[in-house]
Amino acid sequence: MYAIELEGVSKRFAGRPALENVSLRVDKGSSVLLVGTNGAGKSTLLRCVLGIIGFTGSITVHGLDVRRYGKEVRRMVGYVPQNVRFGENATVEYVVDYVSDLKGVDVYLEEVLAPLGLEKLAGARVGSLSGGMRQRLAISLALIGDPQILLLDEPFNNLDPMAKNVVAEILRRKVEEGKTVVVSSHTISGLIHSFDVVAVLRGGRLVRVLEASEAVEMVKPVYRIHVQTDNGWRTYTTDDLFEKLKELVEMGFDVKNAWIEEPDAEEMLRAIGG
Amino acid sequence: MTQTLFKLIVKGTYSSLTSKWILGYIMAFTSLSLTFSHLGLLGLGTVGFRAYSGALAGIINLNLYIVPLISTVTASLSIVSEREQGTLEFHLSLPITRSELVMAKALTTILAIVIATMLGYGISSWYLMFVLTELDLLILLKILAATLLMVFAFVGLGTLITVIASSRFAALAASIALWIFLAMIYEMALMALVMVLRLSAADLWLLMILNPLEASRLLMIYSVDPAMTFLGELGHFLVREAGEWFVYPLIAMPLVYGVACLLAGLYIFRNIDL
Repeated sequence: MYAIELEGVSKRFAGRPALENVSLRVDKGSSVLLVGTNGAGKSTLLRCVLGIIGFTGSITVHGLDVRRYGKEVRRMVGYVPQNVRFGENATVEYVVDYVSDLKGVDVYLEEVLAPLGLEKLAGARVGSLSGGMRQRLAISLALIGDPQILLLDEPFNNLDPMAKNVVAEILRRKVEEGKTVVVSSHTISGLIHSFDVVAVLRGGRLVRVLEASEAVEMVKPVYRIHVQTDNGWRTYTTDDLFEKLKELVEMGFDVKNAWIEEPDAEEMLRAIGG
Repeated sequence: MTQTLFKLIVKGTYSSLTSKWILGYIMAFTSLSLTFSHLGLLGLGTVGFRAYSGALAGIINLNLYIVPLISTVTASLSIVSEREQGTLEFHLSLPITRSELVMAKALTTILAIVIATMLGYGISSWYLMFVLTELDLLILLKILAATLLMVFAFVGLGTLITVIASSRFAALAASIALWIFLAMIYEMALMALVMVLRLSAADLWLLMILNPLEASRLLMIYSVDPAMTFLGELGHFLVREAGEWFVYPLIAMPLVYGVACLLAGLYIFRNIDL
């Protein structure tokens, strides 16, 4: 049984195709990077998997038909939407309480918020949070109840390098624990090394599914990380961004303010067929 | 279903009671019902049944205008606001079915308006305490029950609007137009029809109960005056022809409206493509 199985999935918005005959199988405990330019159909695909929107074809999650068992499917999935929106007047604590209550799990607020550095914001209103903080809150909420599957739509948006590194580390740990992780991104920069499989969407069609190592070979990404030290800026070059950032943190550098020169995102995407 | 629904209602009622619409309603209803009570007592410069019935007539009229308006407006904004603010996707990504979400929104709105209305009634009753007999209290309770039926019918209508409306503006416009029609135009149209077509009392009665607001009005009048003398020929016809039986359609009609509109709203929202 697959963690997620899509068979001939199509979706149209006002007559315009958003997904066309997409078939994809995601193994349990694997990590998939879903890439494509804006409008390729990544978000639509994730929303179909959750059963939020209708589609033709079939989708099963852990063997359960999404149309018939949507609620059960969503109970085992943690989801981060692309545009993170909660009630603006609600406090962070209220939102955590709301989500954990509906997922039917008891959580300690600190346990939910601390991994992404939000523990001091428990009493803050969601409307007062910055884009990056909202993104971190959305990821924290998705992790509530330790779901079997994580679907994250552009989770690295608005995050600084340090937070990106923390999130990448959390995702890596989840995969090690046997969880299934699907991340969508319009850029593959810095992410390829963290995944097992890269699936490429273009114009609503799944054009390619390849091993991450294969994708690295095709793309050959080169990142330049400029880090500020007491003696001015130092530059490090790597093909595995998150691994290098982790290394720099361990070396005691403040990567929060690091300046990262990324390879051309479009060129990378084109190299693997996106 | 029941457990999730219960959790959603508990969480939602607090938010509803603190919404600007409900807070405004509490203030308007309480101050107006107090004003009517006060003016009723001052009416004859003394206290007694006539003063009390004056206060009651004021409260009934207040009910018939303000309660349907707040019920329809609040319910009609409930889901379309979430959709417009982008928070609907967040709710639907959690282990909740669409039916549970619609039901929770409707029941939460009913509960919030009932609590707010009872607060208004409570304060008026306290103010009228020294002229109230046990019988008067019973009348007040009957009016309250008729008000609750009216809340149910109009929250149902508002729910139907909120699942269909494309924007908050459209929902607000539709609910105000509906209120103007049912609270004002309908009555004038009936008067015109009676004069032009010389309708019989039986026809008039049938046309009146098609409007849940008119059905509630008749029920409230019946609570104060079981002989229905206020209604002249129509009241005479009802009491003579149907005895007490005419009360049952008056109770049933708001219930039928509420249930039918809620079911239609559920059906539409379950099948609508967001």
